[in-house]
Amino acid sequence: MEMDKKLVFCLLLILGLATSGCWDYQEINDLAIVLAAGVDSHREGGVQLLVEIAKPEQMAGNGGGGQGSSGKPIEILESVGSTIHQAQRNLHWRSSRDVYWAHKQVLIIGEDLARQGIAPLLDWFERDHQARHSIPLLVTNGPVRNVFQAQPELESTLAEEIIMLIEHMEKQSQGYGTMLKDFLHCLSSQVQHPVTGRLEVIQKEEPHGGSLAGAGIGGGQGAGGGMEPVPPRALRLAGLAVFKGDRLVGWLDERETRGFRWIIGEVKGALVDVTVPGEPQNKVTLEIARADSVIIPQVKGEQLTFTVRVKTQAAIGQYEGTLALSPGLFSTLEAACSAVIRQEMEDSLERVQREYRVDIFGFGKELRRRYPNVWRKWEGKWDSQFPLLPIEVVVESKITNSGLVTSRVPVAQK
Amino acid sequence: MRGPREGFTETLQTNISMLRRRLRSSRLRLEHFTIGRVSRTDVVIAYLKGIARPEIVEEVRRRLKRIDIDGILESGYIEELIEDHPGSIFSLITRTERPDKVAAGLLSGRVAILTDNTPFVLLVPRLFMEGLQASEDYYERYLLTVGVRIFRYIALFISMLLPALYVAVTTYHQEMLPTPLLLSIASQREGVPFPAVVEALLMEITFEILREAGIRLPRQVGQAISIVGALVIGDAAVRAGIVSPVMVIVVAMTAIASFTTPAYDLAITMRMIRLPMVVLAGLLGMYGIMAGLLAILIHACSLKSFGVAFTSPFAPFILAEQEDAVIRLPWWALRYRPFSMTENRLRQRPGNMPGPPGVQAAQRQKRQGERRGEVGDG
Repeated sequence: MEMDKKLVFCLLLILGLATSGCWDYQEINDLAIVLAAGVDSHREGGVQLLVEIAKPEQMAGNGGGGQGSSGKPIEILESVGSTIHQAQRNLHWRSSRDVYWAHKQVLIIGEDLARQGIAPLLDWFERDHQARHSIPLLVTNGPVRNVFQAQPELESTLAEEIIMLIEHMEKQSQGYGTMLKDFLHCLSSQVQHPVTGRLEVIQKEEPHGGSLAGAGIGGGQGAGGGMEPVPPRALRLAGLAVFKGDRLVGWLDERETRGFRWIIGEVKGALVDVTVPGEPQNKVTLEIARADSVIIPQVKGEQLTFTVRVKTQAAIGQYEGTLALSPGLFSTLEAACSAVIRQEMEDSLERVQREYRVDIFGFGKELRRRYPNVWRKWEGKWDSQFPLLPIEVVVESKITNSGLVTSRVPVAQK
Repeated sequence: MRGPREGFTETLQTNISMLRRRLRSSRLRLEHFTIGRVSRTDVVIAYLKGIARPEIVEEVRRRLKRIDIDGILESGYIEELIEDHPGSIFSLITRTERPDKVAAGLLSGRVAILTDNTPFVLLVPRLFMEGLQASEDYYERYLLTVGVRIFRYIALFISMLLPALYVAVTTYHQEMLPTPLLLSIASQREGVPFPAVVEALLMEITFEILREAGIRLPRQVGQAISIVGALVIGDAAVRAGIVSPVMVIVVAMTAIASFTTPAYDLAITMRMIRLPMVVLAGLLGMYGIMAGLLAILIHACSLKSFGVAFTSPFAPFILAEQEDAVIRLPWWALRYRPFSMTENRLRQRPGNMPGPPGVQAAQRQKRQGERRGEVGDG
C-alpha cells in the first residue's frame, strides 16, 4: 500500500511536469532574431515598422553544413498596424519564424513620427517583456525606410554598423547615442528634455568621380557602386535630435552637438583646431584628453544665473608652426583652445535657448539639486523662463603633453 | 603525479603490513572479524586509538557484526551491507587501493575496513568534499593544490550541468546569450532535424555507450573504440547534419570535465544526475534545472555517514575545517583534524612555519612560551 502511494505520487509528478512544461519552448533556429527596428508614421495613419532580421545560415563563420554563404546575412521585413504592437504582430504575415525581440540592438525613429511624439510608441518597448531597455534610441532625418535601404559598409548587419558608429563617434564627440532607458528616464523626469543622436542616410560617392567635399563621410569606396542605377546609401552618425517632451523640435549640427556635450561634461575625445600665434596659415590640432564640467546655479534674490565651468586637458596632436614649442607659446595656445571651446558651447546654448527653447542640458536638475526651495518657485514656469536665463561659460584648458618632438620637422633651405 | 606507487594487494596480511609500515605506532589498532557463513572471509578494521572517535569505531563494529550472508567476495558486498542510506545517489563510503590514502584517513580519525582477497579498502566516515580531494593534493605544493581544487569544483558543475544548461538556454532563455553567440549557435543548428533536448540526450547516450564499451577492453582495442567514437561523434554525425557542432563541443566538454573528479564514485553520481537534468531542462528550462539542483542539495544535506554530516564542513559550516576543503593550507598551517570524526582535534602545535634561521629561532621561543597543547602522537 505504502509503495503504491509512492508510485502514484511519482507518476503524478511526471505527469505534472510533462503537461505543464514546454509551453514557451522555442528552438533557437525557429526564431527570427530582430537586430534593428525602425518605426515611422504611415501615410494612411498608424505606424510603419521595419525590422532587420538575422539569417544565421548566411552569417560568416558558419562552421556547419556544406552550403556556401552566398546570400545576404540579413533580411528586411516591413509591416504596418494601427499601433506598434499591432504592427509587430502583423510582421507574421511575412515572417515564417517567431519574431524575437530580446536581441534587438538599436531602435530608430523616423523624423515624421518623432515630430508627432513618440511616447505612445515607447510604451510598448517599455512594457513588453522581450524588448530590451539597454539599447540606443536614434532618430533619423527623413523616412526610416531610407535607413533600412542603406548598405552596411564594414559590418555585416546594419545593427552592428550603427552600434559601432556610436562607439567610435566618441573620438570626436560630435554625435550622441541615448539608451532607451535613459531616454525614458529623462522623459519622465519633468526637469529635463531628452535628446538623442541623429542618424543620417547619405548617398555614397561614386568610386572615382567623387570629390573631397564630404570629409566627414569617409570611406565611400564600395565595390560595385557603379553597377546599380541608384547610388547605394550609407549611414552616418552625427548631430543631435532635440526633443520637447516626446516631440522632436529640431536638430543640432556637429559643432553644436559637441558644444552640448562640453556643457554636460560628456566629451570623451575631441580635436580642436587653433592657429599658431603670428602664423595664421599654420594650425595646431589639440587632442582633448579629458574634459570635466560643472554647472553652478547662482541665486541673488529673484535673479537666477548659471555658470558653466569646463576644465580640459589637451595634448598637441599636430603642430604646423615653425616656432619651437615653449611654455610661453603653450599659454597662448591654451587660451586659444579655451576660446574655441567656449564658442562651441555658446553657439549651442544660443541655438537651444533662442530657437528650441528647451532645457536639454539639465540646468533645472542642477538647480533642484542645489537649491530645492528656489526650484519650487521656478518649477511651474521653467519651460518659459529657461530661454531667458543668462548663462555664463568659463573654460580653462591646459596642455599637458606635447609628444616627444619639440618642433615641426625642419625643412632644409636649399 | 607525486606520491607512492604502491597499491594494496589481494592478500590481507600484506595489506596490513603496508599499513603498519606507514603508521609504526602502538596506537594503530586492528580488530579481526570473520564474515560469511560459507566464505569465512577475514575482515579487519583499523583505527588509531586516541584519535578516532570510539562511538564511530563502535558503530563500525556493530554494523559488521550485523552482517549475515553466505559469502563476501569483495569489499563492495560490505559497503552495500553497512551503508547509511542504501537508496542514495551518493556513495557514503570511500573505497581506495592506496595505502597512503588509508594511512592519511586513519590520521584524521577515520576507520578503515580491510577485506581479504581484494585490494579495495573501505574508509568511513565519508564526506562529500573527499570526492574532490586527491592524494597528490597533499604531496604537491599547496599553491598549486588550491588552484587545482577550485578547477575541480568548476569541472564538477560542468560535468553535472553543462548539457542541461545548453538545452535550457538555447530553447527557453535565448535572451541570456550574447547576440553573436546566439547567431553562431542558430547558424549551426540550421538543418539539424532534432530538437535540442533530443540532440543532447542522443549524444549523451552515445557517449555513455562508447565509454562502457571501451572500459573492459584491452588497451589496444580500447583505443580503436575511442577512434571510432571520435570519428562517429565528432565528424560523421556533424557532416551528416544529424547533430550540430556546438552540441559536440558541449558533450565533449562534459565528458572531459567528468574525468577530472578524483573519486570514481562521485563521477558516476554526476553521470547519473546529468541525464535527468537534461530532461528537466528540456521540460521547464532554467526553472527545471534549479528545481533539480535544489532537490539534490536537500538530499545531500540530509545524508549522514556513520553519524557525520555528509556535506560538512560546508553545511553545517565549520570555519576551522575550511583550511582543508575547497582550498588547502600548507602543512604547517593545517592545525586541526575534522572535529566531527576525531576526539583529538589538534594535529600539531603552532610554530611549524619554516623560514630563514633568525625567524626559526624566534618561533621556537614563541612555541616554548605557549601552553603545550595536547597533540596526537608524542
